[in-house]
Amino acid sequence: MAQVLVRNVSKHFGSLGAVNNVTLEIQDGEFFVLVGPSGSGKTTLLRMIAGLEEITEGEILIGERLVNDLPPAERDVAMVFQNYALYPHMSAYENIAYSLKLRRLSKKEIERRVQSTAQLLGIKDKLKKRPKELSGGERQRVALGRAIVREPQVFLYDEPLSNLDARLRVHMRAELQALQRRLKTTTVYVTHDQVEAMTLGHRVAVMHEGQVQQVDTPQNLYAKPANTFVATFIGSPPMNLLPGKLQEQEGRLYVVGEGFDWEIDSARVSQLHAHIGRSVLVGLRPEDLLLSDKASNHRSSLNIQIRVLERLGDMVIVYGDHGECELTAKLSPHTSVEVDQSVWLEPRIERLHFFDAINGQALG
Amino acid sequence: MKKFLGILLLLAALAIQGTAQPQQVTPISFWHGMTGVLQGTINALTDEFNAQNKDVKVNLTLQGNYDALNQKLLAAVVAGTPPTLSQMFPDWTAKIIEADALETLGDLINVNIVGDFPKSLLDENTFIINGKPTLLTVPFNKSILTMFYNSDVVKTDDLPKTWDEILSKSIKFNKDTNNDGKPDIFGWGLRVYPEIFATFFHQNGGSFFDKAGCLTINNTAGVDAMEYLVKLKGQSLYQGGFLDAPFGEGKVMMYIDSSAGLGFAERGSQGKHGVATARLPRGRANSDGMIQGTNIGLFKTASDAEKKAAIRYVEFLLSVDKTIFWAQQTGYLPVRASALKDAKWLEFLKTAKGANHQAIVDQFVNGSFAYPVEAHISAWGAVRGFIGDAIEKIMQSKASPKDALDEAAKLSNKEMKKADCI
Amino acid sequence: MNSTVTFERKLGWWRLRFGAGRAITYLVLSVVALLILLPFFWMVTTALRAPDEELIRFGPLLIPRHVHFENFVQAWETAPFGRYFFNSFFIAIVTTLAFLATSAMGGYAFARLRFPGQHILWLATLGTLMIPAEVLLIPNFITLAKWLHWSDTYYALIIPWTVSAFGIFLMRQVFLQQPKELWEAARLDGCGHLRFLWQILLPQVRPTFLTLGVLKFFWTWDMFLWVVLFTNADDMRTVTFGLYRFTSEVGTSYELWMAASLMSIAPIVLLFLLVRRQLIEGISRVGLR
Repeated sequence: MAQVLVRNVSKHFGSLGAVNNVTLEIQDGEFFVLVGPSGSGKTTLLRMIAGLEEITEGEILIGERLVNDLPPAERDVAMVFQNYALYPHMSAYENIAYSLKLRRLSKKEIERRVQSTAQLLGIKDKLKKRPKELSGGERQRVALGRAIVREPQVFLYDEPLSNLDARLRVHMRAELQALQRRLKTTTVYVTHDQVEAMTLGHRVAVMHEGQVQQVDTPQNLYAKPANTFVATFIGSPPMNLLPGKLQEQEGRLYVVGEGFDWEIDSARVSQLHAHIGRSVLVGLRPEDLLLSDKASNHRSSLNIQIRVLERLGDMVIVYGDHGECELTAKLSPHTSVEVDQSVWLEPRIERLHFFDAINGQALG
Repeated sequence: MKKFLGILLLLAALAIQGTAQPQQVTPISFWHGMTGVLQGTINALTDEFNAQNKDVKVNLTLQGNYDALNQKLLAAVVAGTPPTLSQMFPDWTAKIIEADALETLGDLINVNIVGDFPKSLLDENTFIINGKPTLLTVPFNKSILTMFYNSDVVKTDDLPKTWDEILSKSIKFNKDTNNDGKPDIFGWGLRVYPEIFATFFHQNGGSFFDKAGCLTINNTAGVDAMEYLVKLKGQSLYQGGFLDAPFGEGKVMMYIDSSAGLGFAERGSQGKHGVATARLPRGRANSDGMIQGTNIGLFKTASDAEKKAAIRYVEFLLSVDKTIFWAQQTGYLPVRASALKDAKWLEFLKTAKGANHQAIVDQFVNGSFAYPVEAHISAWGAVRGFIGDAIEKIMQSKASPKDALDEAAKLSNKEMKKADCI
Repeated sequence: MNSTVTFERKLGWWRLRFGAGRAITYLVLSVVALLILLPFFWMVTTALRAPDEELIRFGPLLIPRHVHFENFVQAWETAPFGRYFFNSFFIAIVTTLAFLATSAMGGYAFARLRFPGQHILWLATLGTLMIPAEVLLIPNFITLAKWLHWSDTYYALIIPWTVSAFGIFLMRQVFLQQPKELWEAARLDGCGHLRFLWQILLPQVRPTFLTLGVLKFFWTWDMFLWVVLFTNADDMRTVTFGLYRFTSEVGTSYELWMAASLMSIAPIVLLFLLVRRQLIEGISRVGLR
């Protein structure tokens, strides 16, 4: 087990930058998730750690060992591929045992390790089967087994669950979590699925356009997104963003925009004071919008006409337009609203997020 | 697997070892393309020569068939590694002399032998070198076009004497045994290749070249000959393969083919019906048959000692005795005029085996011709190909005789670089 | 979903077993089989007849009146066929093995490796496919016979045929169809290129690889002109060369020719029977994947 250090690492394909000056410190035993949309550079970064891509600039250290010029097999890492990459002509047993065979371990030792791995993954009775005779979930387990059996310092997962159906995915997610708790092996996990990222990761790095946008615990990513990208990428449905302006009036701080005029709670005034007069984006999580009646101060509520309505049982999601902006709100399931109905939504002022309108960085 | 490979390699090494053997005599090589009886006979003759001449060892090498021999010979000439002697057809010779690779064998062997070659054979072996007619090669296994017939069915009176009679007499033997409205037994069997065309063309008074050296197969004589052959096809068994098979089966009563096929015709008919030969029917101008077969050439790359040994060997093969032996065994022609008058040969003609040679020899002596010396150019191989293409188109009714022969003449003249002719 | 598939499969089986579809399938297969077997049948009947004997017409088949097994003996004795067979086997086996090795390695290099000059080399390799063999005959002869003095050696008969652009091209194409992750997984497992090629990649393309090998064996066995060009010694020659002993410009001894041909194809048929199971197994595996 070891920590993984990524220092100022960049990767260029020709003139195209896939990964741009990324620095990460992945702790020993940590379950670390790289999340981002496709093309964000997360897989490239993982492959650089594995040694499958050359590093254009920067350094990668695994357990204090500089691995830039080490071939994959000598980095003491194991990787699970999106399509599993099992050897089709070998049985599950042979697939799992192959790396041990290449390391010239004794037959007995191989047998012992393969059996205990299979035991751990619950595939003992599938060992004689070829990959094509196994179900998707079983193949996934063999792929895991192939990684586990090597007892590497680091596990690398490249979207390992994306080929499974939804139910199996949830199940395997839980198993992966349990497995990691048990083995305590440093893990780097790449996914484009924010739910996977949030549920699995001790810490999550959100990547976009080759750069790390924010590294933090899932909770903090959600509660304190560092910029509008993270804010809208994490959370479903995504955070609403409304343009506005910070204004001071009679010693009080207001954020003013089209159809709203909210006084900022005193606790945050000191943080935002420096930005008075600036254009901002106001972030509102859908669950922080509450249905209000028209009678209250209309400058504190937002008026929308419901365009789409999704009843999910435990909540109702409504979509509508406020001026130029689309607004989404998660309402109580008991709310009686209809499509085309005009409703007033009032934010929880204390949960507002503020971002610089120009560079998107969080303010305060 | 490794063990197996090892054994194979070992065996290979042994095999390579085994091929080398020391010699104190002058070895010469003779490449040929003869199989079956021909190979057996040349082997016997060569063994005899080697036994009589302890200082010479003639190594015969069969190069598979004539086509392979041709390709190997050309490659070897270019590479400068030809044999001492080789069989060659005149059009190969024409190609080989472009590399100036041949000795003038006609000047090297005994003049008495050269003077004894029948004219058509001399014609065929003569090439124009530096504007001078030169006897570059000497004749060896020569045959001539002959008529074969089923002597149980076809009587002497039934034999056609002219082209018109081929049409009128052979059709009488056509029979429809299974009553399907089409004959399945034919009086005449027909296979047309350039030498057959050449013979009908020649018999029709045609000559291949005009005074300017242009190919003239598309003149009236040529077109007329092809039209005749198309007409003959309509009442004959026409096929691309050898006719000795349907002849032996009794499906064909008469056909014209190389005299060298006599052995096969006899073998195929054995125990079923008699086989006889006859002179070719007469065309409008003559009743000549075309000479075919290979000649022998001597290569310049050989050392003087090898050349001397080779000349001795060639003179041995061409001696009256041996050319008679060769003809008796193989059905080829004795290549010397004096051999044809030799008592031994005349005796042979009286035997059952020799009887069929009578008509062949008669054809040879009194009615034979070869491609004219103008055809002894390296382009002739291609020209012969164009003629063959034209024949195929005509016989398959894909083109009229005139059109196809025009096309062949045009292509040929271009190939021979006779721009003025086109 | 699964049960539907199972049901349809069962239905298909039922149709095949009892339905009209089965009759048609078998009829078509029988006709095809007959068409394929007929030439072989004629080879056998021709090989068994006497030279002067006409074949009896028996329905659409021709059958000899008397059976002449001695044709085989006579054919065998016409030429040193024992030696010819040894040569044919030796040349075909060594050539095929070497050819498979170069095809696999060359195909792999072009499919998976990146090296300077690769593109040019690849174009040059493909370029050799465009050159007609006839054009190469004389240059090859000069190189091998004149410069290397390889006439009458196995080198001349084997080495030039151990590499071909066709083999490299074919193997490259099938390698390219394999997922890249196989190599990456193998690399992480500690495979080098050679081991990966041999242990992981080739088993994936076994049907193609075996077929290529079988074809190469046939082609090598059939080689004639090349053998003539580079050998003069009779003990360096092959079975295919021997077959030409029965045919000439003026006629052919069909019964001996066919007897010898039967003997010459026997090992090939045997080889096919040996490899057949593997070929079919390989092909069915591809089908199931």
